Amino acid sequence: MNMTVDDLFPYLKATGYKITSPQSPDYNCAAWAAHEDDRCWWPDPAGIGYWPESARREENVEAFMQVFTALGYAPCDEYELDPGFEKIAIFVDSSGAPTQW
Amino acid sequence: MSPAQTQFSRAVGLKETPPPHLEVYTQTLSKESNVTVFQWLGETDYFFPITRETPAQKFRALATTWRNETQALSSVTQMAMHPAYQQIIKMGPIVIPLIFRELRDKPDHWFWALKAITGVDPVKSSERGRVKQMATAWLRWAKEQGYSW
Repeated sequence: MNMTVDDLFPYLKATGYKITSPQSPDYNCAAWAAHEDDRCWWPDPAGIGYWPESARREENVEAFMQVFTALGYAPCDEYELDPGFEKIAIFVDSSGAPTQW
Repeated sequence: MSPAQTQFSRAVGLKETPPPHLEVYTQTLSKESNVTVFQWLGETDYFFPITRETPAQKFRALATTWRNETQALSSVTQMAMHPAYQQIIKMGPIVIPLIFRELRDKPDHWFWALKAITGVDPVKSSERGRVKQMATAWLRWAKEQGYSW
């Protein structure tokens, strides 16, 4: 049975979020951060996901930083919302491989 | 008691030895079906399927599990490494038409599995990441190869 957004992200409930579009396999969070919603971005070894050719096709923070720096993002120290700036956060697993945005 | 008779007795929970004048033999319908048919020849002929799970049923169950448990993932690699997805790959070529049916009806990330099973990749580099275009490329390839689904 499909889990709902509330099931998947229980802490979202308190934020009063609203769903603005249906779930889709057409794009993922990396694509969304790159302002695309029609292809999945990922440097998987099987070559399934899109990944800019100028960047290293590796699943580590450095490769992701390389791609998103080229898109205009820069490392920052604060987690808080900053008016006028778009911020993304790269979540990694215990091996250091990016998993979520 | 022959090995087949022993297997049959265990399968149906018989405590006693089948009558010796009744011949029992086993037959695996196909390598993929995992359905073993026991036929007891004698006064009554009948089939006793040990499992009725077909490859299609197994695929659908695994696909549902995979879909449910990866719906919040972004990593294409994590999606493909999910145990249910890996089991589907392990089922081998028999699932290819089933995957094509899925791609036709509800395009999703079946490309890693198709690539792993078939050893080919008909997707152009410009189509990478675009699920619908990748699905179309695979279905076109499937038709060229004579698959039906």
